[in-house]
Amino acid sequence: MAAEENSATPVVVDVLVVGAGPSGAVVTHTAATAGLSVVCLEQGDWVNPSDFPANFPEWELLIQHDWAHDPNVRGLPSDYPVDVEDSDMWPVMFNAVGGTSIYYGAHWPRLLPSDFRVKTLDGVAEDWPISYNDLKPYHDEVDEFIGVAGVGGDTAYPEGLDYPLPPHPMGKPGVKAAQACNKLGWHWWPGTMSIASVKHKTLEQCGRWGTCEWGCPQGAKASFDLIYMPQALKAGATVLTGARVRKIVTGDDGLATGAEYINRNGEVVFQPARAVVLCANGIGTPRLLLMSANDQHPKGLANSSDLVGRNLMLHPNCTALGVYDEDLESWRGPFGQLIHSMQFYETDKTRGFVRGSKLHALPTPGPLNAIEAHRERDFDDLWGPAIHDVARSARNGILWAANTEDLPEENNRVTLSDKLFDSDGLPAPKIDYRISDNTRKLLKFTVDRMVEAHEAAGAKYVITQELWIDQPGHLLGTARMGDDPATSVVDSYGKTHDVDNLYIADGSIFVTSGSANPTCTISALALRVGRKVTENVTARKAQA
Amino acid sequence: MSSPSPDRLSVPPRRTKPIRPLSDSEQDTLLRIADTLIPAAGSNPKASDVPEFLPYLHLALAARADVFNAVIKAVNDLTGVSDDDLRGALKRMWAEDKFTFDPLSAIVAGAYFMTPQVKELIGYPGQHRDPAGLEDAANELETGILDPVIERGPIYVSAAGE
Repeated sequence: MAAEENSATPVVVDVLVVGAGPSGAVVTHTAATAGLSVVCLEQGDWVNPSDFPANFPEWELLIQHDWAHDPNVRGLPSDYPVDVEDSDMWPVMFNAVGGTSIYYGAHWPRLLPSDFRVKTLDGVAEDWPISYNDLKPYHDEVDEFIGVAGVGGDTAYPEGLDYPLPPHPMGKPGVKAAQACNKLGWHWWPGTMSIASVKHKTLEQCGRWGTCEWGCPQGAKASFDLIYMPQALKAGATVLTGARVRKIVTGDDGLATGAEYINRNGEVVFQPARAVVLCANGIGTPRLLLMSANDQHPKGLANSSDLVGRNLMLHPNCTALGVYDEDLESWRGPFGQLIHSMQFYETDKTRGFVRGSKLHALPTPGPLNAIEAHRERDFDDLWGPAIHDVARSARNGILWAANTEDLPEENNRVTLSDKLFDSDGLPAPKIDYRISDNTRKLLKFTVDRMVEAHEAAGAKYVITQELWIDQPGHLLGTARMGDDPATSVVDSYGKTHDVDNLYIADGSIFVTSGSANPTCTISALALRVGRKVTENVTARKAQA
Repeated sequence: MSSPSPDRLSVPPRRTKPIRPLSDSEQDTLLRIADTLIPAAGSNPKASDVPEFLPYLHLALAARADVFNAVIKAVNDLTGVSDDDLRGALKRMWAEDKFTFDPLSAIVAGAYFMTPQVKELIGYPGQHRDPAGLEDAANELETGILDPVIERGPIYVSAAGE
């Protein structure tokens, strides 16, 4: 449907943020608390903890469609389609205030020192222009703000890593998984999670509902609509929901002048700003930059390097579900990570591939979910008398899952679809993505290790899945940072090389993916970007 | 975002009733399908013997309104199949048409495992608030379970810059 122009011009704001997910909330808060005027545009709207499916008895059916992770399945008014015809995986996200943190499992691992030096250490990909230590103070500040719960001193990291809130109990599944790791001599650590183990600011104490990845009904998980964004609003920021940005506008001087968005009434509104920060995730941000092509920027905005949309990394996930004889009370949460293992995180070239994976153990809530996990069984082994025992296995399960490190490849990319369009007629992102041989080997190796962990723990049987096509929603690398404008889109502070007042603060700016769940790093980077935006805008205003 | 704009952009409406009532024939056949997929076994009742199965079956159909028409079409296709032949027919559907069988079986099983009687029978308390005790995490660690990891020391690869 054609949008109508709205002639009313809003006032110029200091900072315009596009997207209200984790990075958008952090940037909005950072600029607002520094005294700048900030508007954050979000195509979705607010979701209440009482909305989530776990509040209702039919929750396991609701998550199959209406509350599915995949926007192409869910198809909410806030969603846009994703063209995955030429992709081995289906990138997923949630479009609302809080972004995909509404659905994340709140695993909160930082990248390791080696992640920033992959080229130097392993001769592949690129090094980051920043180091582990450059990011550490921003991590520490974000962790303190959102109340990360965990045990300090994780031996997978350099000294000096600690958390503000006490850890969550591992529960019976976590303890059993940990005992198996000890038997095998593997690293493991109690799960670090951005879930409040005690009441913290605007977050409630975790109620261990076990449904973190389908929304926290307790309001305890640090989804960024519940932490950072409320504090940003209190500091004077404005969040406009139902505002779908269609273009970043630039002036004759090449600077960004603001953004055009389509509001709930289908009207096009221009929001002028002194600086624009894109926080629309690793799919939405390149889509928007490509949609913003104009005569001055025919390949898309900030795309002189031709790297906008390229190097998409998705952290292919694999799992091994183990079923045990004993009652593990696996309906109990958190459905974050009860423990994690970094035993296979670093490169060991004797394995036949480079880089590695992060493993995490989770509970297995829900009898229907257990049945879905057994779908590959023969008919007679699931349907009929067998179903009763399969449903009971939900109490007795441990799910080992892993992120594998996805290396950047230019052919894995986001472009604009010529077949799919959103409800406003804007082109959907088109994903071209193939899993590399290195990653295939890594996936197989990791599944074998997770089976080994189950065997060491005495599992009755194990069901493996070597690739989750529609997980995990880690959307990285499509506007990577670097010092050289020819080989990167933004500098280490997220400022685009081509447009002096246009910044990117989401997962797009990752150089490599590591295998740590990325929201922790995205948030720390966003704080670093937000500080620089604030500094630069304040300086410009002083000069004006 | 095109008008008319719904009230909730990021929250689907919750339905508690199927998009239309089932006919008697459809309901009878669906119950026969449910009993075939979930028969009595030991202490476990067959689906239709669970007192509250029917209202939960309606709730399950409401929750998967996206597949209602496809599922009911399959139900109607099976109306004339005798009890003796129904298992074989469902097995054929499982083998040849998973896009119908999977949601049909999910609805039936989802309804069964929502009923209070079956939840109690299989030991599933449902997802609910169950906060940890103050000392639970500390008690786990006081067993010394983490000691072997700590004793092995750091495992990270230095990259100069940490």
